[in-house]
Amino acid sequence: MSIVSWCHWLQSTPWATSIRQSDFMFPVIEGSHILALSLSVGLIVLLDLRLLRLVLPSERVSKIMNQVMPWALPGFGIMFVTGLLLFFAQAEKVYTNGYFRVKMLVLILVGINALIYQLKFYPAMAEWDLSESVPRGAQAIAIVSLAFWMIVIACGRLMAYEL
Amino acid sequence: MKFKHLAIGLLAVAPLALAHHSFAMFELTKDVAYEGTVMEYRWENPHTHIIVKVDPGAADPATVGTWDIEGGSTNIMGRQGWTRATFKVGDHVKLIAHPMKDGTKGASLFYAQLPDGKRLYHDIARPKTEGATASAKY
Repeated sequence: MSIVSWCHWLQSTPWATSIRQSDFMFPVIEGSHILALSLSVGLIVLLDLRLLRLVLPSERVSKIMNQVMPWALPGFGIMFVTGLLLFFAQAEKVYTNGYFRVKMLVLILVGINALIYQLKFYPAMAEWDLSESVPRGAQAIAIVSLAFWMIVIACGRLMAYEL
Repeated sequence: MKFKHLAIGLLAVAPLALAHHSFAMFELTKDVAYEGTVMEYRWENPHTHIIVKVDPGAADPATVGTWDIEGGSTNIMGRQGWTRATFKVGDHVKLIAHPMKDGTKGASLFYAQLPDGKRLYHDIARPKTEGATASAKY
């Protein structure tokens, strides 16, 4: 079975069809998907800007990170679940959408970027937590994160124009 | 290099995005009557679609062919009285819609002219009243 025909099967399932044809479920899922951006990406932007010393420069990076992540991660969880449901409801059109593919690719890159931070810079954060200079590498990760999230959001909005 | 292309691509589509959804594609001041047979009635989000086949010999020869008439979400149309059972395949319908600017066989639904003479509007938009047109002249 090709992926396209699998997508067709997926969106033809009774529950995917009921989301697609619903009066309230669809706008609620769609609205939650967008509002959860403020929790997930909104707070990640705050952390990125701190790494670039543009906001809250006198606050410890670790302190901001510890307070932001308990909100950002559930926010991402909401985006992920609602995103999956939106995909199920319109799988065929979404799968063949160019912006969707760019969005998924860049999301994977965003994940790798965050993983590099966790492995390379997170363990030694205490050393530069409050210092004037954040390691160049960590700053580069912050810039990549900001740029890639903007691409993800732009692609998410642009793909909807074609659905 | 690929990202450069992507960035250019994003910029190129931006004006369309600013017009909010694809209404910029439609000639919104033009009302065209598409009278024909329902081939498909897709009651779904984010947009309802009515595929209408207009046979040769139609009152407006320019409308002959198969058209994708796009409506709003089920919620928006439901509040005007539309349901999933409003039309079915094979029904004869008369739809007033705003055609695509580029000539593709698609249009943005304005209202359905029902057999009893009533109009089933797509959303809250209504035709400009005579009074409004007259005052607009001054």
